[in-house]
Amino acid sequence: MSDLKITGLTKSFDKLEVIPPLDLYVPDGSFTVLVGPSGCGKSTLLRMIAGLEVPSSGRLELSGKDITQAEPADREIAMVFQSYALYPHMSVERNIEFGLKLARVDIEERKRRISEAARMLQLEQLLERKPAALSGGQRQRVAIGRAIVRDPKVFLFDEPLSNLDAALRAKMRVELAELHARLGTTMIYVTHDQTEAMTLADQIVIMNKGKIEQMGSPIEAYDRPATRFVAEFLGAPRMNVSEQEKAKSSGAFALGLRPEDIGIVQNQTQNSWQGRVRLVERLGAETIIYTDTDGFGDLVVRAKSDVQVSPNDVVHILPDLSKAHRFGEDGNRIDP
Amino acid sequence: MKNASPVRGFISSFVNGPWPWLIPALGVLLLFRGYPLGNQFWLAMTDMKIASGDASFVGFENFSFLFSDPNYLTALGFTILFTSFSVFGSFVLGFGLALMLNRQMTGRVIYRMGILTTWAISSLIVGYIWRLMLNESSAGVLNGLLEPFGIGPVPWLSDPNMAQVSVIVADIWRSTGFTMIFMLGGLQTLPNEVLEAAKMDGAKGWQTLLYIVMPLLKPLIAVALIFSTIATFNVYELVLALSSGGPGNATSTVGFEMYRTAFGDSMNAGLGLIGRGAAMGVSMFLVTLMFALIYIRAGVFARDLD
Repeated sequence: MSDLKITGLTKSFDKLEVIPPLDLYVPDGSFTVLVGPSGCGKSTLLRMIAGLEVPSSGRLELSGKDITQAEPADREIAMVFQSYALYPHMSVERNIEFGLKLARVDIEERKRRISEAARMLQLEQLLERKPAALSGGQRQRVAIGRAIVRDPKVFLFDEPLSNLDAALRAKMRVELAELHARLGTTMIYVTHDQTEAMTLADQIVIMNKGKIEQMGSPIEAYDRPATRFVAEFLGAPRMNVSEQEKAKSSGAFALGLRPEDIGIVQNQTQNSWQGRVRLVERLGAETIIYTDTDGFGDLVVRAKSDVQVSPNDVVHILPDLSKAHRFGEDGNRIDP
Repeated sequence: MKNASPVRGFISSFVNGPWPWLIPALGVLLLFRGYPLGNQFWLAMTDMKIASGDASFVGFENFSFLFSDPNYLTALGFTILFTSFSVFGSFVLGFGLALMLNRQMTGRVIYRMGILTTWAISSLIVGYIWRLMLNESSAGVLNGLLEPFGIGPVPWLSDPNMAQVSVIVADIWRSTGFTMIFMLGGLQTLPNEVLEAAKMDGAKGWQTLLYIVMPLLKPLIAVALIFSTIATFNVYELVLALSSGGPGNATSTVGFEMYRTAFGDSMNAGLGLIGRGAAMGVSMFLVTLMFALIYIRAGVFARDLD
């Protein structure tokens, strides 16, 4: 069992409280993604789990053992950094070997683990190279290799894909998912990219201003956002949220509608709204229509690619109100 | 065809190449670096004296004299000793201080400025400051401090061995600030995540220093050592002010010996041998050049770092 239990963890820098008391449970073998805008405290939380940052108070337990005060290397936790943080003067092999050497693992065992990791990560041809001679994706794999050989109970990833270009990012995302499936090790992953969060996580933790807004399965968070913040954070284009007349008439402070839950119709009906088209983005597979809708305001609609609209057209908009999200003035979800 | 003649071809490639652009800079270098250097090599092969100013060519006579000149050889021996200890001492101390000041601590800026000040002071003044501090009567700060403990008076500058130690310590004091600020600059460029990765890998403080920080700073360390070796090897003002090379010539360095030979001093009215002094200067130039080449090979131009 390598589950991580965080209770009452806080972090303050001088008088600034970055993380108010926070509880989080990461089950054994889970792929937990911490996601939120920059400055939300997700990296600080990860660094406290790693032991690189000392918590101001609270408790960290790994497999039931208190590790709050343990040295980073004694936690059985490995970390992959955003910049990969490879040792530039060492070859790939020595980079991977460094931690094992320090842990006084004997040479035969070191060799065995390095070659196993190299095979798994397709690094066999690159072992003699210096990091400077590697591509971004290869460096990323070396960083992962360095983490794997130590056979940790938990892997931490700090925005590991943010330095890669879009195509490579998608590829590495798949590789990471496969790696998790193969190793079955608990992974905690920090990102500000909601696509990574949605696709990789089995548990998503959405953070804002140091607090956890919601945690659970990604689909649950998407379908039933607990707060207005989560609603607007997950999804692209993001959810339309309005505090205007349509919200009032639905009995909420704010009304949220996902772009895909709205249709454009030919004829006015009893339930249709009227709006003026501001901009049309044709993406090929779909078309995004930006409108200004009476009683709602800015409203983005995700429509089929062949929809016939142009800017300044007046259109009839039919929202699927059964899928609408209602929020109170405190930002919390109101359930019907 | 006229245009195809080799001379024309050479001229046009010269005019169109990089050289015309370099002429101003090269001109300045030749005038202010090349000419004095060449002139010194020339003087080193003459018997020019400061009194007469006449010079006639004597070939390598001045150089062969150096090898049998006890004053020069003693000075050379002490200079090597002095440079080794001073460079090593100021590097260890300067790097140590840099490591200390690289952390978050209160008053960091004040410490940094204070330590750097020693380097900003003229060597001549450093020499006088230390001479005052090492004054052997109880008026001297150090002996004054030691007196209540029944120690002393310590012959800081009148005992030959003690004087050598004193000169070396004073020079370490002078040059530590430079090494510190230089290495501190280097430490602050190290990527923080790499150091944290080492921490996650289980490296203790000294292991991080030895396996990560030092190798990454290797080029910088080489540069710091070159600079401080050259500055230390050529020192003469400090010696002039602190010990005047004495007692006897126990603390005379090659730079000081060159100064004394070429321009004379009150105790050696017979000197003033410009040609012989120039030959000593040339010997210093060659040694300095050798150090520079060694250190350059040792890693200044190491390109394997990203």
